[in-house]
Amino acid sequence: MRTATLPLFPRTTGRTKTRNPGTVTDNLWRAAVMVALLALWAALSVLTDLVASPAASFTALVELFADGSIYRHLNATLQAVLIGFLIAAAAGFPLGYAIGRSKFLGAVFDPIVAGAFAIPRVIFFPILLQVFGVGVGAQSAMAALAAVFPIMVSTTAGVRAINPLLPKLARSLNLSPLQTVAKIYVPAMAPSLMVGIRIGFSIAFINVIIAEFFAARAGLGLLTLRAYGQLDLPAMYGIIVLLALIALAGNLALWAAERRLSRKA
Amino acid sequence: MVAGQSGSGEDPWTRGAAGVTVAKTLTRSQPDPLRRRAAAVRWAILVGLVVVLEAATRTGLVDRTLMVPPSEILARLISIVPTGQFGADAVRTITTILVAFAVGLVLGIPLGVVLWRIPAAGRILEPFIVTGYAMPTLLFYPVLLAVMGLNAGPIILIAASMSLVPIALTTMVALNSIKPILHKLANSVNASPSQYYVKVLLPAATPLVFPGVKLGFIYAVIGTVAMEFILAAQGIGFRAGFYYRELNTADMWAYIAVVVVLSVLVNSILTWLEKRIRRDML
Repeated sequence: MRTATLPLFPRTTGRTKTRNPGTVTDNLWRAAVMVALLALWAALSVLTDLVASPAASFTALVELFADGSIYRHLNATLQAVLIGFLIAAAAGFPLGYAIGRSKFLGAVFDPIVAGAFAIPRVIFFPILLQVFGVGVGAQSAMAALAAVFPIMVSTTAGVRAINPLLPKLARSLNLSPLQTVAKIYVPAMAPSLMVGIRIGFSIAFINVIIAEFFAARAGLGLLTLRAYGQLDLPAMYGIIVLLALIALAGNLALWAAERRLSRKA
Repeated sequence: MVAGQSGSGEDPWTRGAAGVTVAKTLTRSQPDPLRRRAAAVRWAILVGLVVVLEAATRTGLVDRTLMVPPSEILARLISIVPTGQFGADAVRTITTILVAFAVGLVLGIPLGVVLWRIPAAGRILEPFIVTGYAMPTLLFYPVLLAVMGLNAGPIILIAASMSLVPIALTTMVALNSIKPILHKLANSVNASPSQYYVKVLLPAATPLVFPGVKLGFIYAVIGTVAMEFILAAQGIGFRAGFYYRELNTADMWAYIAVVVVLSVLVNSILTWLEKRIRRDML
């Protein structure tokens, strides 16, 4: 039960083994939930001045795209999330794998990784600002620092949960270490690697926004704050919707891939 | 991995209370040399890190505006901790965390139960709740500030929404993975609904739900400190950002150290609790 010492992510997939025939109705219901949320938003906008109406917000968002002023910020945010996530993945997967494979490394680093996971990494943002200067560099570094530990944790858990027969199979087939990793471990761990990717993406995204709130030259977080500062509420809600849609789309894509992989496994 | 835990662990039927005690006394009578060596290496790494940082900052390899020597951070801490301002900040941050976590727990567990009781709702809403991990609820921070004012309210709401997600999800997954025989047992002894929940579901699900609750608490800590860091009037996270803007590197590092110690402490307590809970479960 050594895995129990690490913070664990709930595995939501793999539970529904049977392909349920109601997928279409489910999606219809999901669309209904979206519509209900939109209706709730519209109702709130009627009740209070602090909430702009959906129509006004979408118009403001379309305007931002039409005059092209949003692209600089959209680029900055997406770039920071992507670069940060790639750095985190490049560091997190091998490190998590090493910690999961070796009993000794696990015993040494488990508590350190679990402790680092629990620290709000945003608190180190001022230092990143001083190293990288205000800009995409600092935001990317923030995303990487935030996402690397969740990726490590889920990779480690994935390695440990592997069927013990598989490494034995690799040994009896005389596979080279590289083959063992590529042909045995990665396919067997695919679902938990996807969990790491999804959580890593989510955390990178959230932390880039937080970092942009604190200090940035460009970015959707900065744009939101600026719109709020100018009391341009429709634009602010428009950008919030855009960000929520990015989060939803990214998450759904990764989540679908995760489900497919764990159904196969 | 909740699913992995139940799957990879020993068969719960052969792992009785007696087996657990035997295993415990065995591990206690013979100290694990690997663990001891690992702990030694771990401390060597941590101490080495502090020594390297001390050397790098003392020799000017790392600029003073970036980091002050760890010994100086400690000295600043010793002079900061007894002050009334620190006390107020610490009380504010800790109460915010606790209230946010309590809200997350009180809303998250029933939500998980509902998602389990009504499988269709669980299936339909799952993608939305999963997105909750990435949903930047903190984007509403400016609005919440306008509505509730610059106090703990907006922070509590956001941190609670972050802590709710893992709690609700693990509750749902845990209840789904309870052995079917337990439901049948409750049925056959004619358990009342309250008995069913308190005497069957609660003890059976607790060990599986706890990792989610732990994650929820960690998220409450992260959410609270992060929000304070962006914009607040009080709190440990606020103070770190405040001293950054004041260009007071020593005090900023002192507050960063407080955050690090606080979160590592919270994590250790939760890990310890997790082991306790597991010990007396079947």
